[in-house]
Amino acid sequence: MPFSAPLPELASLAGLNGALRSGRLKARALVRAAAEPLKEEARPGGAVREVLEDEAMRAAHDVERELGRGRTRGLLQGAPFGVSELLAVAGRRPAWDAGAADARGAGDSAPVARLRGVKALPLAVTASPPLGGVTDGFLASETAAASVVARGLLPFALAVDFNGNVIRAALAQGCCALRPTFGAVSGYGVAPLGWTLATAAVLARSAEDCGVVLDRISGSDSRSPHSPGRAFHFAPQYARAPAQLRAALVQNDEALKASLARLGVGMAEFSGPGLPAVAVLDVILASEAGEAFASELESAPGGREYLAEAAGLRAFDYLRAMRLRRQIQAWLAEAAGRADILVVPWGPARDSQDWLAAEAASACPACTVLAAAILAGAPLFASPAAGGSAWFAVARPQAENTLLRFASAMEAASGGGGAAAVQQF
Amino acid sequence: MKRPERITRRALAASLAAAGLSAGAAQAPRGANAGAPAGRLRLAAARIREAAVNKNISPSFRFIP
Repeated sequence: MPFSAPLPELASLAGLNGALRSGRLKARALVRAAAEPLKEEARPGGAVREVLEDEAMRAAHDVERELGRGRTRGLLQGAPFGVSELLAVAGRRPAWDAGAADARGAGDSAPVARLRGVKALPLAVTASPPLGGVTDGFLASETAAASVVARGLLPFALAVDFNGNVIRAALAQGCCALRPTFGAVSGYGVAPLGWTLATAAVLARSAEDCGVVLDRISGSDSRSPHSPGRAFHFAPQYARAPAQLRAALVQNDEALKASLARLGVGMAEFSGPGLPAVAVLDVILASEAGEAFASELESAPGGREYLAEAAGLRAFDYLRAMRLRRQIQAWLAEAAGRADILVVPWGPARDSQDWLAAEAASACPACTVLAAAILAGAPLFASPAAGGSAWFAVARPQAENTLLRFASAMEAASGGGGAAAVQQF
Repeated sequence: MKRPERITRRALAASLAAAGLSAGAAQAPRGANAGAPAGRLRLAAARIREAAVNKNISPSFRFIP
Protein backbone atom coordinates (compact mmCIF):
# COMPACT_ATOMS: atom_id res chain seq x y z
CA MET A 1 0.00 0.00 0.00
CA PRO A 2 1.48 3.44 -0.90
CA PHE A 3 2.40 5.55 2.07
CA SER A 4 0.31 8.71 2.24
CA ALA A 5 1.01 10.11 5.69
CA PRO A 6 0.40 13.80 6.30
CA LEU A 7 3.99 13.91 7.58
CA PRO A 8 6.69 11.52 6.36
CA GLU A 9 8.05 11.41 9.91
CA LEU A 10 5.00 9.36 10.93
CA ALA A 11 6.34 6.43 8.88
CA SER A 12 8.29 4.99 11.81
CA LEU A 13 8.65 5.68 15.52
CA ALA A 14 12.44 5.88 15.27
CA GLY A 15 12.24 8.48 12.48
CA LEU A 16 9.60 10.46 14.33
CA ASN A 17 11.59 10.47 17.56
CA GLY A 18 14.73 11.54 15.71
CA ALA A 19 12.88 14.49 14.16
CA LEU A 20 11.44 15.55 17.53
CA ARG A 21 14.72 15.25 19.41
CA SER A 22 16.71 17.10 16.79
CA GLY A 23 14.19 19.94 16.77
CA ARG A 24 13.43 19.52 13.05
CA LEU A 25 9.82 18.92 14.06
CA LYS A 26 8.03 20.46 17.02
CA ALA A 27 5.59 18.28 18.94
CA ARG A 28 2.74 20.80 18.66
CA ALA A 29 3.27 21.20 14.90
CA LEU A 30 3.15 17.42 14.64
CA VAL A 31 -0.14 17.22 16.56
CA ARG A 32 -1.71 19.99 14.44
CA ALA A 33 -0.65 18.30 11.19
CA ALA A 34 -1.75 14.85 12.31
CA ALA A 35 -5.09 16.10 13.66
CA GLU A 36 -6.30 17.65 10.38
CA PRO A 37 -6.92 14.44 8.39
CA LEU A 38 -8.20 12.73 11.53
CA LYS A 39 -10.84 15.45 11.94
CA GLU A 40 -12.02 14.71 8.41
CA GLU A 41 -12.46 11.09 9.48
CA ALA A 42 -14.48 12.09 12.56
CA ARG A 43 -17.81 12.03 10.72
CA PRO A 44 -20.70 9.56 11.04
CA GLY A 45 -19.47 6.31 9.55
CA GLY A 46 -15.85 7.51 9.54
CA ALA A 47 -12.89 5.73 11.11
CA VAL A 48 -12.50 8.21 13.99
CA ARG A 49 -15.00 8.74 16.80
CA GLU A 50 -13.25 11.70 18.43
CA VAL A 51 -10.07 13.72 17.97
CA LEU A 52 -8.48 14.67 21.29
CA GLU A 53 -6.61 17.64 19.83
CA ASP A 54 -6.77 20.11 22.75
CA GLU A 55 -5.56 17.57 25.26
CA ALA A 56 -2.82 16.37 22.88
CA MET A 57 -1.68 19.96 22.27
CA ARG A 58 -1.23 20.52 26.01
CA ALA A 59 0.73 17.27 26.33
CA ALA A 60 2.80 18.20 23.24
CA HIS A 61 3.70 21.49 24.88
CA ASP A 62 5.04 19.51 27.87
CA VAL A 63 7.06 17.32 25.49
CA GLU A 64 8.62 20.39 23.85
CA ARG A 65 9.64 21.74 27.24
CA GLU A 66 11.07 18.39 28.30
CA LEU A 67 13.08 17.99 25.10
CA GLY A 68 14.20 21.60 25.41
CA ARG A 69 15.90 20.79 28.68
CA GLY A 70 17.28 17.47 27.44
CA ARG A 71 14.80 15.17 29.19
CA THR A 72 14.15 12.15 26.96
CA ARG A 73 11.79 9.24 27.59
CA GLY A 74 12.37 6.83 24.71
CA LEU A 75 10.98 6.42 21.22
CA LEU A 76 7.37 7.08 22.17
CA GLN A 77 7.93 10.54 23.61
CA GLY A 78 5.70 12.94 21.67
CA ALA A 79 4.34 10.22 19.36
CA PRO A 80 0.60 10.60 18.66
CA PHE A 81 -1.45 7.43 18.64
CA GLY A 82 -4.98 6.11 18.22
CA VAL A 83 -7.05 4.17 20.73
CA SER A 84 -10.01 1.99 19.90
CA GLU A 85 -13.12 3.04 21.79
CA LEU A 86 -13.04 -0.38 23.44
CA LEU A 87 -10.22 0.88 25.69
CA ALA A 88 -11.07 3.44 28.34
CA VAL A 89 -9.61 6.93 27.90
CA ALA A 90 -9.74 9.41 30.78
CA GLY A 91 -12.63 11.84 30.64
CA ARG A 92 -14.58 9.81 28.09
CA ARG A 93 -17.46 7.49 28.92
CA PRO A 94 -16.51 3.95 27.83
CA ALA A 95 -18.63 3.07 24.78
CA TRP A 96 -18.98 -0.50 26.00
CA ASP A 97 -20.17 0.21 29.51
CA ALA A 98 -23.89 1.06 29.59
CA GLY A 99 -23.71 1.31 33.38
CA ALA A 100 -21.22 4.18 33.36
CA ALA A 101 -23.37 7.25 33.94
CA ASP A 102 -20.95 9.84 32.57
CA ALA A 103 -17.30 10.58 31.99
CA ARG A 104 -16.60 12.03 35.43
CA GLY A 105 -14.19 9.87 37.32
CA ALA A 106 -13.49 7.66 34.29
CA GLY A 107 -9.79 6.89 34.18
CA ASP A 108 -7.44 5.59 31.52
CA SER A 109 -7.20 1.91 30.75
CA ALA A 110 -3.87 0.49 31.91
CA PRO A 111 -2.20 0.46 28.44
CA VAL A 112 -3.21 4.07 27.73
CA ALA A 113 -2.01 5.16 31.18
CA ARG A 114 1.38 3.51 30.57
CA LEU A 115 1.73 5.28 27.23
CA ARG A 116 0.86 8.63 28.80
CA GLY A 117 3.61 7.90 31.32
CA VAL A 118 6.23 8.03 28.58
CA LYS A 119 4.56 11.11 27.05
CA ALA A 120 3.01 9.44 24.04
CA LEU A 121 -0.02 11.45 22.95
CA PRO A 122 -3.47 9.85 22.57
CA LEU A 123 -4.84 11.85 19.65
CA ALA A 124 -7.76 9.90 18.23
CA VAL A 125 -10.41 7.51 19.50
CA THR A 126 -11.09 5.15 16.62
CA ALA A 127 -14.54 3.77 15.88
CA SER A 128 -15.32 0.19 16.69
CA PRO A 129 -18.46 -1.82 15.86
CA PRO A 130 -20.90 -2.07 18.81
CA LEU A 131 -19.24 -4.32 21.41
CA GLY A 132 -16.38 -4.84 18.97
CA GLY A 133 -18.68 -6.74 16.61
CA VAL A 134 -18.61 -9.76 18.92
CA THR A 135 -22.06 -10.73 17.63
CA ASP A 136 -20.59 -11.13 14.13
CA GLY A 137 -18.28 -13.93 15.23
CA PHE A 138 -15.37 -14.36 12.84
CA LEU A 139 -16.56 -11.49 10.65
CA ALA A 140 -15.72 -9.01 13.44
CA SER A 141 -12.87 -6.70 12.51
CA GLU A 142 -11.19 -3.63 13.99
CA THR A 143 -11.18 -2.03 10.56
CA ALA A 144 -11.11 1.62 11.63
CA ALA A 145 -8.01 1.44 13.84
CA ALA A 146 -6.17 -0.64 11.22
CA SER A 147 -7.16 1.72 8.44
CA VAL A 148 -5.90 4.80 10.31
CA VAL A 149 -2.50 3.15 10.78
CA ALA A 150 -2.33 1.61 7.30
CA ARG A 151 -2.96 5.02 5.71
CA GLY A 152 -0.20 6.57 7.80
CA LEU A 153 -2.49 8.96 9.68
CA LEU A 154 -0.98 7.79 12.97
CA PRO A 155 2.16 5.74 13.65
CA PHE A 156 0.37 3.23 15.85
CA ALA A 157 -2.91 2.40 17.55
CA LEU A 158 -4.23 0.16 20.30
CA ALA A 159 -7.26 -2.06 19.82
CA VAL A 160 -8.88 -5.02 21.57
CA ASP A 161 -8.44 -8.47 20.06
CA PHE A 162 -10.85 -11.17 21.24
CA ASN A 163 -11.07 -13.63 18.35
CA GLY A 164 -8.41 -12.46 15.90
CA ASN A 165 -10.44 -9.39 14.93
CA VAL A 166 -7.36 -7.14 15.11
CA ILE A 167 -5.17 -9.63 13.25
CA ARG A 168 -7.74 -9.95 10.46
CA ALA A 169 -8.18 -6.16 10.28
CA ALA A 170 -4.42 -5.63 9.89
CA LEU A 171 -4.17 -8.28 7.18
CA ALA A 172 -7.12 -6.77 5.31
CA GLN A 173 -6.11 -3.11 5.67
CA GLY A 174 -2.37 -3.48 5.13
CA CYS A 175 -0.57 -2.76 8.40
CA CYS A 176 1.19 -4.87 11.03
CA ALA A 177 -0.44 -6.12 14.22
CA LEU A 178 0.90 -7.79 17.33
CA ARG A 179 -1.39 -9.67 19.67
CA PRO A 180 0.84 -10.32 22.71
CA THR A 181 0.89 -13.31 25.03
CA PHE A 182 -2.36 -13.24 26.97
CA GLY A 183 -1.84 -11.37 30.23
CA ALA A 184 1.33 -9.55 29.14
CA VAL A 185 -0.73 -6.36 28.90
CA SER A 186 -3.02 -5.49 31.77
CA GLY A 187 -6.72 -5.87 30.96
CA TYR A 188 -7.72 -3.07 33.35
CA GLY A 189 -10.02 -0.66 31.52
CA VAL A 190 -10.11 -2.86 28.42
CA ALA A 191 -13.57 -4.03 27.32
CA PRO A 192 -13.88 -7.56 28.81
CA LEU A 193 -15.38 -9.08 25.66
CA GLY A 194 -13.90 -12.40 26.73
CA TRP A 195 -12.39 -12.64 30.20
CA THR A 196 -9.93 -15.27 29.05
CA LEU A 197 -9.61 -14.12 25.42
CA ALA A 198 -9.62 -10.32 25.01
CA THR A 199 -6.36 -8.42 25.20
CA ALA A 200 -5.05 -5.08 24.02
CA ALA A 201 -3.16 -5.49 20.73
CA VAL A 202 -0.87 -3.13 18.84
CA LEU A 203 -1.32 -1.95 15.25
CA ALA A 204 1.74 -0.30 13.70
CA ARG A 205 3.68 -0.02 10.46
CA SER A 206 6.52 -2.43 11.27
CA ALA A 207 7.45 -5.27 13.58
CA GLU A 208 9.96 -3.02 15.33
CA ASP A 209 7.32 -0.40 16.13
CA CYS A 210 4.99 -3.10 17.47
CA GLY A 211 7.80 -4.25 19.78
CA VAL A 212 8.59 -0.72 20.97
CA VAL A 213 4.94 -0.13 21.90
CA LEU A 214 4.49 -3.52 23.58
CA ASP A 215 7.62 -2.84 25.64
CA ARG A 216 5.89 0.20 27.13
CA ILE A 217 2.37 -1.15 27.66
CA SER A 218 3.23 -4.54 29.15
CA GLY A 219 3.88 -5.22 32.82
CA SER A 220 2.33 -6.65 35.94
CA ASP A 221 -0.84 -5.15 37.33
CA SER A 222 -2.61 -6.29 40.49
CA ARG A 223 -5.93 -5.13 38.97
CA SER A 224 -5.60 -7.64 36.11
CA PRO A 225 -6.16 -11.30 37.11
CA HIS A 226 -4.10 -12.79 34.26
CA SER A 227 -1.03 -10.63 34.74
CA PRO A 228 2.06 -12.88 34.77
CA GLY A 229 3.90 -10.49 37.08
CA ARG A 230 6.60 -9.52 34.64
CA ALA A 231 7.01 -7.10 31.76
CA PHE A 232 8.07 -7.69 28.18
CA HIS A 233 11.36 -6.06 27.20
CA PHE A 234 11.89 -5.53 23.51
CA ALA A 235 15.38 -6.88 22.84
CA PRO A 236 15.28 -8.70 19.48
CA GLN A 237 19.06 -8.52 19.23
CA TYR A 238 19.21 -11.25 21.89
CA ALA A 239 16.64 -13.46 20.16
CA ARG A 240 17.76 -16.23 17.83
CA ALA A 241 18.53 -15.20 14.26
CA PRO A 242 16.15 -16.47 11.56
CA ALA A 243 18.81 -18.89 10.30
CA GLN A 244 18.71 -20.61 13.71
CA LEU A 245 14.94 -21.04 13.66
CA ARG A 246 12.67 -23.76 12.38
CA ALA A 247 9.35 -22.76 10.87
CA ALA A 248 6.31 -24.75 9.81
CA LEU A 249 4.32 -23.44 6.87
CA VAL A 250 0.67 -24.16 7.62
CA GLN A 251 -0.44 -23.97 3.98
CA ASN A 252 1.68 -24.06 0.88
CA ASP A 253 2.68 -20.66 -0.48
CA GLU A 254 5.58 -20.48 -2.92
CA ALA A 255 6.44 -16.81 -2.27
CA LEU A 256 6.57 -17.34 1.49
CA LYS A 257 8.56 -20.53 1.07
CA ALA A 258 11.09 -18.63 -1.05
CA SER A 259 11.36 -15.84 1.57
CA LEU A 260 11.94 -18.41 4.33
CA ALA A 261 14.59 -20.15 2.22
CA ARG A 262 16.39 -16.82 1.56
CA LEU A 263 16.59 -16.23 5.32
CA GLY A 264 17.96 -19.74 5.87
CA VAL A 265 15.02 -20.72 8.11
CA GLY A 266 14.81 -24.48 8.65
CA MET A 267 11.51 -26.07 7.71
CA ALA A 268 9.43 -28.39 9.89
CA GLU A 269 6.38 -30.48 9.09
CA PHE A 270 2.98 -29.15 10.11
CA SER A 271 0.10 -31.26 11.33
CA GLY A 272 -3.10 -29.73 12.68
CA PRO A 273 -4.57 -30.28 16.15
CA GLY A 274 -7.43 -32.45 14.96
CA LEU A 275 -9.62 -30.54 17.40
CA PRO A 276 -12.42 -28.03 16.65
CA ALA A 277 -10.51 -24.91 17.76
CA VAL A 278 -12.86 -22.53 15.92
CA ALA A 279 -15.94 -24.05 17.60
CA VAL A 280 -14.24 -23.99 21.01
CA LEU A 281 -13.33 -20.32 20.59
CA ASP A 282 -16.88 -19.44 19.50
CA VAL A 283 -18.44 -21.18 22.51
CA ILE A 284 -16.05 -19.70 25.08
CA LEU A 285 -16.37 -16.19 23.63
CA ALA A 286 -20.18 -16.36 23.50
CA SER A 287 -20.36 -17.61 27.09
CA GLU A 288 -18.00 -14.95 28.43
CA ALA A 289 -19.25 -12.01 26.34
CA GLY A 290 -22.90 -13.00 26.78
CA GLU A 291 -22.59 -13.13 30.55
CA ALA A 292 -20.58 -9.90 30.86
CA PHE A 293 -22.60 -7.83 28.38
CA ALA A 294 -26.14 -9.20 28.73
CA SER A 295 -27.72 -5.76 29.17
CA GLU A 296 -25.62 -4.12 26.41
CA LEU A 297 -26.39 -6.94 23.98
CA GLU A 298 -30.12 -6.35 24.46
CA SER A 299 -29.78 -3.02 22.67
CA ALA A 300 -26.95 -3.79 20.21
CA PRO A 301 -27.74 -4.61 16.55
CA GLY A 302 -28.18 -8.37 16.35
CA GLY A 303 -27.34 -8.54 20.04
CA ARG A 304 -30.64 -9.96 21.24
CA GLU A 305 -30.37 -12.97 18.93
CA TYR A 306 -26.73 -13.52 19.91
CA LEU A 307 -27.62 -13.25 23.59
CA ALA A 308 -30.43 -15.79 23.17
CA GLU A 309 -27.98 -18.21 21.56
CA ALA A 310 -25.30 -17.57 24.18
CA ALA A 311 -27.81 -18.05 27.00
CA GLY A 312 -28.72 -21.42 25.46
CA LEU A 313 -25.19 -22.69 26.03
CA ARG A 314 -24.96 -24.74 29.18
CA ALA A 315 -22.30 -24.90 31.87
CA PHE A 316 -21.48 -28.34 30.46
CA ASP A 317 -20.66 -26.75 27.08
CA TYR A 318 -18.37 -24.14 28.62
CA LEU A 319 -16.54 -26.72 30.73
CA ARG A 320 -16.10 -29.06 27.80
CA ALA A 321 -14.82 -26.17 25.68
CA MET A 322 -12.30 -25.29 28.39
CA ARG A 323 -11.12 -28.91 28.58
CA LEU A 324 -10.71 -29.00 24.79
CA ARG A 325 -8.84 -25.73 25.13
CA ARG A 326 -6.30 -27.47 27.38
CA GLN A 327 -5.80 -30.11 24.68
CA ILE A 328 -5.37 -27.41 22.05
CA GLN A 329 -2.81 -25.69 24.27
CA ALA A 330 -0.94 -28.99 24.61
CA TRP A 331 -1.01 -29.41 20.81
CA LEU A 332 0.46 -25.92 20.34
CA ALA A 333 3.22 -26.65 22.88
CA GLU A 334 4.03 -29.86 21.03
CA ALA A 335 3.98 -28.07 17.65
CA ALA A 336 6.25 -25.38 19.13
CA GLY A 337 8.67 -28.15 20.07
CA ARG A 338 9.06 -29.04 16.39
CA ALA A 339 8.90 -25.51 14.98
CA ASP A 340 9.73 -22.20 16.66
CA ILE A 341 7.30 -20.32 14.42
CA LEU A 342 4.11 -21.33 12.64
CA VAL A 343 3.73 -19.26 9.47
CA VAL A 344 0.27 -18.96 7.98
CA PRO A 345 -0.42 -17.42 4.55
CA TRP A 346 -3.65 -15.41 4.46
CA GLY A 347 -5.81 -14.50 1.47
CA PRO A 348 -8.73 -12.05 1.28
CA ALA A 349 -11.16 -14.96 0.79
CA ARG A 350 -10.70 -15.86 4.45
CA ASP A 351 -12.32 -12.61 5.61
CA SER A 352 -15.82 -13.59 4.55
CA GLN A 353 -15.48 -17.34 5.04
CA ASP A 354 -17.81 -19.38 7.24
CA TRP A 355 -15.08 -20.54 9.59
CA LEU A 356 -17.12 -23.17 11.39
CA ALA A 357 -18.12 -24.86 8.15
CA ALA A 358 -14.60 -24.57 6.76
CA GLU A 359 -13.09 -26.14 9.87
CA ALA A 360 -15.68 -28.93 9.86
CA ALA A 361 -14.66 -29.70 6.27
CA SER A 362 -10.93 -29.43 7.16
CA ALA A 363 -10.77 -26.70 4.52
CA CYS A 364 -9.18 -23.93 6.56
CA PRO A 365 -6.14 -24.93 8.63
CA ALA A 366 -5.30 -21.20 8.80
CA CYS A 367 -8.57 -20.53 10.67
CA THR A 368 -7.88 -23.42 13.04
CA VAL A 369 -4.33 -22.22 13.80
CA LEU A 370 -5.53 -18.64 14.43
CA ALA A 371 -8.22 -19.87 16.82
CA ALA A 372 -5.81 -22.30 18.52
CA ALA A 373 -3.21 -19.58 19.11
CA ILE A 374 -5.81 -17.28 20.68
CA LEU A 375 -7.13 -20.08 22.89
CA ALA A 376 -3.60 -20.90 24.07
CA GLY A 377 -2.77 -17.23 24.68
CA ALA A 378 0.20 -17.40 22.29
CA PRO A 379 1.59 -14.26 20.61
CA LEU A 380 0.54 -13.56 17.03
CA PHE A 381 2.05 -11.18 14.51
CA ALA A 382 0.27 -10.14 11.30
CA SER A 383 2.20 -8.86 8.31
CA PRO A 384 0.53 -7.21 5.33
CA ALA A 385 1.21 -8.26 1.75
CA ALA A 386 4.42 -6.58 0.55
CA GLY A 387 5.62 -8.10 -2.70
CA GLY A 388 3.99 -11.41 -1.77
CA SER A 389 1.25 -12.88 0.38
CA ALA A 390 -0.09 -11.46 3.58
CA TRP A 391 0.69 -13.79 6.46
CA PHE A 392 0.58 -14.16 10.19
CA ALA A 393 2.86 -16.07 12.50
CA VAL A 394 2.49 -17.72 15.90
CA ALA A 395 5.22 -18.37 18.47
CA ARG A 396 5.13 -20.00 21.88
CA PRO A 397 3.91 -17.85 24.81
CA GLN A 398 6.35 -15.10 25.84
CA ALA A 399 8.50 -15.57 22.71
CA GLU A 400 7.62 -12.14 21.30
CA ASN A 401 11.25 -11.19 20.71
CA THR A 402 11.81 -14.27 18.54
CA LEU A 403 8.58 -13.58 16.69
CA LEU A 404 9.40 -9.90 16.09
CA ARG A 405 12.95 -10.56 14.97
CA PHE A 406 11.68 -13.16 12.54
CA ALA A 407 8.97 -10.74 11.30
CA SER A 408 11.49 -7.91 10.79
CA ALA A 409 13.71 -10.22 8.78
CA MET A 410 10.73 -11.29 6.67
CA GLU A 411 9.76 -7.63 6.12
CA ALA A 412 13.29 -6.92 4.93
CA ALA A 413 13.33 -10.00 2.71
CA SER A 414 10.13 -8.85 1.01
CA GLY A 415 11.22 -5.19 0.80
CA GLY A 416 8.90 -4.00 3.60
CA GLY A 417 9.39 -1.42 6.35
CA GLY A 418 11.45 -3.56 8.67
CA ALA A 419 14.76 -3.10 6.86
CA ALA A 420 16.11 -0.49 9.24
CA ALA A 421 15.19 -2.65 12.20
CA VAL A 422 17.05 -5.67 10.87
CA GLN A 423 20.20 -3.71 10.20
CA GLN A 424 20.57 -2.70 13.82
CA PHE A 425 20.15 -6.23 15.24
CA MET B 1 -64.75 -23.42 48.67
CA LYS B 2 -63.34 -21.85 45.51
CA ARG B 3 -64.34 -23.69 42.36
CA PRO B 4 -61.50 -24.70 40.01
CA GLU B 5 -61.19 -22.39 37.02
CA ARG B 6 -62.62 -23.92 33.87
CA ILE B 7 -60.10 -24.04 31.03
CA THR B 8 -61.81 -23.66 27.71
CA ARG B 9 -60.34 -24.89 24.46
CA ARG B 10 -60.17 -21.27 23.23
CA ALA B 11 -58.31 -20.06 26.36
CA LEU B 12 -55.83 -22.94 26.03
CA ALA B 13 -55.17 -22.12 22.37
CA ALA B 14 -54.58 -18.47 23.28
CA SER B 15 -52.10 -19.43 26.03
CA LEU B 16 -50.21 -21.75 23.70
CA ALA B 17 -50.10 -19.10 20.98
CA ALA B 18 -48.67 -16.60 23.48
CA ALA B 19 -45.93 -19.13 24.28
CA GLY B 20 -45.17 -19.58 20.58
CA LEU B 21 -46.69 -23.07 20.40
CA SER B 22 -49.62 -24.44 18.43
CA ALA B 23 -52.44 -26.48 19.90
CA GLY B 24 -51.98 -30.18 19.38
CA ALA B 25 -48.27 -29.90 18.44
CA ALA B 26 -46.12 -32.61 19.97
CA GLN B 27 -43.42 -31.38 22.35
CA ALA B 28 -39.90 -32.57 21.69
CA PRO B 29 -38.45 -34.47 24.63
CA ARG B 30 -35.95 -32.43 26.66
CA GLY B 31 -32.94 -34.45 25.76
CA ALA B 32 -29.25 -33.71 25.40
CA ASN B 33 -29.79 -30.66 23.20
CA ALA B 34 -32.54 -29.04 25.24
CA GLY B 35 -32.01 -25.31 25.43
CA ALA B 36 -29.30 -25.38 22.79
CA PRO B 37 -29.22 -22.19 20.73
CA ALA B 38 -30.31 -22.10 17.12
CA GLY B 39 -27.74 -21.05 14.53
CA ARG B 40 -23.97 -20.71 14.62
CA LEU B 41 -23.47 -21.28 18.32
CA ARG B 42 -25.71 -24.36 18.24
CA LEU B 43 -23.43 -25.84 15.58
CA ALA B 44 -20.34 -24.89 17.56
CA ALA B 45 -21.74 -26.47 20.71
CA ALA B 46 -22.67 -29.61 18.79
CA ARG B 47 -19.13 -29.85 17.43
CA ILE B 48 -17.51 -29.62 20.84
CA ARG B 49 -19.91 -32.21 22.25
CA GLU B 50 -18.80 -34.61 19.53
CA ALA B 51 -15.07 -34.04 20.13
CA ALA B 52 -13.25 -36.59 22.23
CA VAL B 53 -11.87 -35.21 25.49
CA ASN B 54 -9.30 -36.90 27.65
CA LYS B 55 -10.90 -37.73 31.02
CA ASN B 56 -7.79 -36.65 32.91
CA ILE B 57 -7.90 -33.09 31.65
CA SER B 58 -9.44 -30.52 33.98
CA PRO B 59 -10.98 -27.28 32.71
CA SER B 60 -8.75 -25.06 34.88
CA PHE B 61 -6.45 -23.12 32.64
CA ARG B 62 -3.07 -21.40 32.88
CA PHE B 63 -1.86 -19.33 29.98
CA ILE B 64 1.82 -19.69 30.68
CA PRO B 65 2.37 -23.39 31.47
